[in-house]
Amino acid sequence: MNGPYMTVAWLTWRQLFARRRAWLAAATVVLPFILTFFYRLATEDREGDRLIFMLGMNREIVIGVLLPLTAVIFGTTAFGGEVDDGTMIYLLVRPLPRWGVALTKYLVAVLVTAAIITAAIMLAWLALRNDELPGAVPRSFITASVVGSLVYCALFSYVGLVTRKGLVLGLLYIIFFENILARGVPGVKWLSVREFGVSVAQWAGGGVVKFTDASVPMTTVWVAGSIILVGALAMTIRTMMRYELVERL
Amino acid sequence: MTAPAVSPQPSAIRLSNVSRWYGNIVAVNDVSFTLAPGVTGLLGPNGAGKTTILHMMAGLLRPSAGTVLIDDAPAAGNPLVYRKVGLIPERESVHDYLSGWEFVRACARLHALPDADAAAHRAIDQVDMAAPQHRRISTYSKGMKQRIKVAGALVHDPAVLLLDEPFNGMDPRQRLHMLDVLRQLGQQGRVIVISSHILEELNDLATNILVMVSGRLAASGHFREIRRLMTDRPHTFHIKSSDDRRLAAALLADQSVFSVELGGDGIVIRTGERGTLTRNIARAARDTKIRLTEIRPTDESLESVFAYLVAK
Amino acid sequence: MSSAIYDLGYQRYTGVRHGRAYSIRTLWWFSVRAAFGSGRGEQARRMPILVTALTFLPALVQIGVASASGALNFISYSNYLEFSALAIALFVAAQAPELIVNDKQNGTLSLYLSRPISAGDYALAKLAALTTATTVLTLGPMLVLFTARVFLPVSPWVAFKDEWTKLFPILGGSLLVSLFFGSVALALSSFAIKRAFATASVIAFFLLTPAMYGVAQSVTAGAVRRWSVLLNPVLVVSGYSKWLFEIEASHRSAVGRADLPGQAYLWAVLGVCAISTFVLLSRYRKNEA
Repeated sequence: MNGPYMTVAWLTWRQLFARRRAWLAAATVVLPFILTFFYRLATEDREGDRLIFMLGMNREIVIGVLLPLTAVIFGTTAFGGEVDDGTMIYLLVRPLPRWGVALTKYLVAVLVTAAIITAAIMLAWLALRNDELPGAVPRSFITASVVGSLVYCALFSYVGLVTRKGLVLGLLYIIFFENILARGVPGVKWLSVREFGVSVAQWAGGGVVKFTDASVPMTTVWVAGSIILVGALAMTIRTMMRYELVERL
Repeated sequence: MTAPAVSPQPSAIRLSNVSRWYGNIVAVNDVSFTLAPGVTGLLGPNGAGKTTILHMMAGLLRPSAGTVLIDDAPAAGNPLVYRKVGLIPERESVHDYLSGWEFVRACARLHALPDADAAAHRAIDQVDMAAPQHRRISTYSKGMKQRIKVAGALVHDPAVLLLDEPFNGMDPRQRLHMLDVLRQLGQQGRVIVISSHILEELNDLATNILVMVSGRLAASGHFREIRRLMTDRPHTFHIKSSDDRRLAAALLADQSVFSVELGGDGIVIRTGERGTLTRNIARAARDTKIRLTEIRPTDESLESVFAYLVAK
Repeated sequence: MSSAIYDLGYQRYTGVRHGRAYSIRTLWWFSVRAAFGSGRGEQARRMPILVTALTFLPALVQIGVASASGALNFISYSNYLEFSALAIALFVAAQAPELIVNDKQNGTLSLYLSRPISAGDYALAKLAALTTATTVLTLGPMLVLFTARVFLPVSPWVAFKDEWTKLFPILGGSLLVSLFFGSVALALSSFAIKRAFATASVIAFFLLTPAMYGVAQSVTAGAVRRWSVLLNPVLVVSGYSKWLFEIEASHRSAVGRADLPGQAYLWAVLGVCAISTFVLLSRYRKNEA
């Protein structure tokens, strides 16, 4: 049964990069790298500075903005794009179980998102690495971005499948919820996937990566994250199985 | 055209009292028929429920009532049924960013065919798209997109082919070509259903015609019968002029007129011979020196055509 | 008996034919209305009206509180601009795509270009329209505040004499800030083929720039650190408004710590507007849809 699923994956892959999205991916990978140039230019590069820069940049820019934006674009497109284009039907009239199709698409979105962010992190690290910046730093952020991709893509896949405005809703979630609410209202932090990412980075960093205000305990991250992930995936699969080509919202 | 593939097993589609509603809207209303190998035309105006019926036959929609059986197995909810059915949907949407070849090959692989590449080549040759197959689909003309869709639906050699308004937007040459392809496929013993809202499109291709109006099966019969019924019906014209009464009197004397009705806003004329009458109206107006301000055929809409069929 | 054909149908237009200026003005007004969702159905109206209401809210609340309690401590004009910067960013992120990406998606851009306006005219008209619409959000609440300051105190005439000079910076400030946000949003949206992607890119811009500022703050030092405040559009607006109203920034605030000459902010605002307008115009340079 490998052949058909690989084809689904291949189709999804081609679709994610259609329409100039490849440029977007390239820009995302390169942005942190460019920022390291400015760092080199603009600072005296004292002891301990590189670490602070890396931590700050990865937390604020990579995990904070690039990861959710990439996930929202690729996650909603993996499902919503096919429906919008009207090509989803070609995946449904096949002797393939639909839950398999849904899972494959989701995994492709996750892989693509994680790969882009990983490349971004690695590129920036390679530019600045020295004794102060051990491999643990990029490793921890890569772990965080993988976890983040898994959860974000599950959420956005569902939203993209179910409504036409998936991308906008995802963006609203990112701005309002993650950037405004969760920063200001500590009680809600445990629902923000971004904060999950930060906490995972700290956990995986083994002491090198430390944030003063990563306040979501790891058990909460695993529990809440799993619930969100499994819940969103289940709903996506359920919607796919019942998908009956009625005009959606 | 290359030699046809080996004929598949004969299949039959059977619909029994099938209905489908969406909330308050009834799209298909108690339809029953059986389809045998050969080409059947599904005719009806837009919104008659043709696409819904096709999707139910393809196993994409569950009927709200009744059963849709393909070879005595229910069509919906059964992924294996898709091996037997090929659907060419109406909306033009094919993956723009793939080449024709990539698309057909993907369709073949999605069916887990043992030799996907060979099947794809065969299908592409059958629709005569071998030359442009490596170009992106976004560069294809409408006719070419339709043909590549047919190739994608043929690649797994289905016994049933469902085409939803395949001639939409095709010019006459492309249409003739498509007719050739479909005729060949019909001769191979497959069950082919073509939906359309223009009777002439099907020409002599479809042996049997099913007419749907507002979700109901309005008529079924041989192609020529249906066409005769449709062209022999009386036509109605609505005429406004500078002196309706005198014009009505003059027209009543005309042989080709069935009836003349004089109403508040004009004359309504019914005739069996449209061509003759149109000439005679002009003549009558000239002879009586009445100025015509409006001549409108009132029932040229497909709705009325089909409604007439229902009334019969 | 003569036969004649009565030409009762097609008539030629013999009225006035307005020129290019009229077309541009019509397009401008139409786009202003579109920015608030008028004529587009319920859903298109929701977002802009909501955001507009949000920007007016503090001013109205202020009035309520002040008239009830008698204390006349109002939000200062410059603080107001900073505060509503976020709402304005949202507004342009949502509506700039509505103005220009819709035409590209629907293919109606070619309809516009078949009229006596050029592509450059089209782009400028849209820019003017978005700026006008955004000015409602920037100028409106400030005018409300102004009116409150004049009429709530015991003697309005005295208050007016004190306040009326503020009208100039209020006007100039709101216009320029609107142009600032509007031009950035339009420039970014002119690259997108779908509305949602345009919105995403504008939002990305307004998220990434503060983040970069944050990073710069933590690692750079000295002059670079101070000048990095120009990376954050909200802070640029804040600095600009403080310069406008000739207020000293408190030393704890980001602008205060940056301690840049006031004109730096003015030039930053003007520079961004110029660059964005240039980008927008270059996207519409060819007269092609």
